[in-house]
Amino acid sequence: MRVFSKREFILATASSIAGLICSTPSVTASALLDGHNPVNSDPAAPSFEVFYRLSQLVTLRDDLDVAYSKDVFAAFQGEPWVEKHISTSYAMITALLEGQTEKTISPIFAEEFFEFGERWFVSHLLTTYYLGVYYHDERPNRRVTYDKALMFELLADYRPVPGFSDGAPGDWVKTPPIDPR
Amino acid sequence: MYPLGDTTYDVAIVGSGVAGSLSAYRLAKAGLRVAVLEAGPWVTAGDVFDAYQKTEDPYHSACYPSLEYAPRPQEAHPHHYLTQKGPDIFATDYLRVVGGTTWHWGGACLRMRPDEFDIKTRYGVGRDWPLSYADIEPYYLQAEDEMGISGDQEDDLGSPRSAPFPLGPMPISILEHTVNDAAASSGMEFRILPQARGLQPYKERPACHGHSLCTPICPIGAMYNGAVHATKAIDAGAELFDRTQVTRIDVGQGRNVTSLQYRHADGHVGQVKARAFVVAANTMETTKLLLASSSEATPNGVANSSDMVGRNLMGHPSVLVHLRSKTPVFAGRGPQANSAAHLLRSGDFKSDRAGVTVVLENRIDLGGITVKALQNLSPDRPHGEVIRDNAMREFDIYFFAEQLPDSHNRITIDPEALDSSGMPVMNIHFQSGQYSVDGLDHAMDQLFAANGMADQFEILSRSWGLAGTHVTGTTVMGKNPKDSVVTADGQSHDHPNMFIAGGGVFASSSTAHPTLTIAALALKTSQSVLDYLEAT
Repeated sequence: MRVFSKREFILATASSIAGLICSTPSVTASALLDGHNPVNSDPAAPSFEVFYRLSQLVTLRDDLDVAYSKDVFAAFQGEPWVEKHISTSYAMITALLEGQTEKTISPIFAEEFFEFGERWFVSHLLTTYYLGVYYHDERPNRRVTYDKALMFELLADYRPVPGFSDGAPGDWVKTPPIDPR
Repeated sequence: MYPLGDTTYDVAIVGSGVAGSLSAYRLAKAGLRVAVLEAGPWVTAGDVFDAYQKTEDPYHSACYPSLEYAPRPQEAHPHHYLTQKGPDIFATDYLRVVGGTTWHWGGACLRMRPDEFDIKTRYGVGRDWPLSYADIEPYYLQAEDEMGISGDQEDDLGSPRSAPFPLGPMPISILEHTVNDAAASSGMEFRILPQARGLQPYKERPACHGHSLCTPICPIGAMYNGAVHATKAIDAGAELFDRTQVTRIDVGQGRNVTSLQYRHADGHVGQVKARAFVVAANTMETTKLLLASSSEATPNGVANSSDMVGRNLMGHPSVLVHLRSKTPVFAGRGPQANSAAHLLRSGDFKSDRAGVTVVLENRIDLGGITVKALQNLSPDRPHGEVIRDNAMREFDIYFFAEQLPDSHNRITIDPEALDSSGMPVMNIHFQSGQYSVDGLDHAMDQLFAANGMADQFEILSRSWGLAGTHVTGTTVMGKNPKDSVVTADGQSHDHPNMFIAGGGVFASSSTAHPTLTIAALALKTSQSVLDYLEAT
């Protein structure tokens, strides 16, 4: 597994980067950034395809699990702000990418890129994907997944999802076969 | 099947945690007719792990039941089940299920050290125990054999052994090597802890496969829990009645206890008669039951002619220090509590400040690391890299201090306020005490003064608290019936056929995790029950 590094993050281009994205060895930055951006034909009711593409871009994962993403999409349904935030965020990100000659996603994480509401939404979306739990202010929180939570996947080359070890006794003392950054 | 009022057991045991279940196993194996009454239900590792995966509550014991008929305290919600009278909050957490709180422990099985049994004589503080290390050592061996403890045969950690550990030691990790290198000049060395798990299978339990989830649940049962001996007790002939809360202890015309009153989860009530009784319902629940069983003959509650039931509530005041290493240490792989430093557990300094055990916590708060990274999104570095990098470098060191017995630290009950099961609510009067705080301050100063520590690690935070971890006292043992509740054998001074097993009988909290000593004392008490029944 490789992590999308700082250099790659900032300078990712369609032609020069390969195999260097968060915990997805088969995925390239070009695959993520050159992927198809579906048209958001109904901003008042964005489709799952739009939500999924938005999710790929903010999580920096071209191979984001579709079934997991559908569960996250379902968790967001019913929120009074969800359609607006999905559509606005998506429009801003796709506009950024379409206007670039050297593609980079990093500007979307700058403080000033989004309005407050969209920035909060992206953070909320990421928190849900990473923790596998949908946090809500007024309703009870909701577990979306356990083992598919992205935070576990980030460490999968040296640490099992807790409770799902397939290692041998004592394996955990070995130096992990990675290049620590 | 429920115990009938006209059945007289040889022994009735209240509670099925490690103390109650080990006692039941020993007594049933000896041919006695044994009944065990457990307030909570049976659970399995599969049930708990399934609940853990489904809960959205990050609190580690959220996957265990807190039931209307068997409610329990929760560390994260200290006012939920207990009435905190102060001045400090006593945040504690125990389970009410068959097997008890050992379902969600770290598995550390330190023995107490010899000097900890006579701290009053040696250091002029606290209370002496009415027994010596030599008295309990054979029972430590038995407990280690029953529980399948692993440990370093060459390193007794200051507690002399008359026989090897049943299992060889767990291995030392990159985290331990890194911290030991950095801490060398402090004199502290983190050494492998004796643990209730091993690299090899032990009896019915598999080897530890590094699931990194000891707390809240070892999903494969490699780590010991009290249900192991609850099951063995049943196999040996004991009858275990779950979801059956004992609500009262009856004392007859003489000094002896005659029966237990119970209420089942389905609402039916009944009584159990026996020749002898072992109350092993957890330190705090045992105390509540004794105090709630007052009568004309026992106006202060059962076993309480000394007015010492409920007094000398102790825990392990602690500090959790969160650190970040310059190089990756890969915490969170393998057992969650694997090593500790023992330099400051014993010494003449204990006249002035507490002994302290320093545990290297082999776990990471991955959720916390993740949330922090996502709250600080940046165009300069991808969030996945930030989370991963911090997860590889962050870890905790847990300092816990001995606490002296103090009669003002106590549990009382409020007969006017009842919990959901109909039992009185407990009032907690508690203060950690300067003795413990001074010990913790000194231990942190000594470790972090090491040049290597400052070079290698950045301290990110220090969190004080959790005195309610490792609850002990409130039914302390002693030689004098006027200032203690039970003898060194756990036998009530007031009621010869009633015994108490569990952390409640501790005369001081010591610098050891309490579970192994609880188990050893329960086995010693079981022998005393056998001797008592044989003599009567």
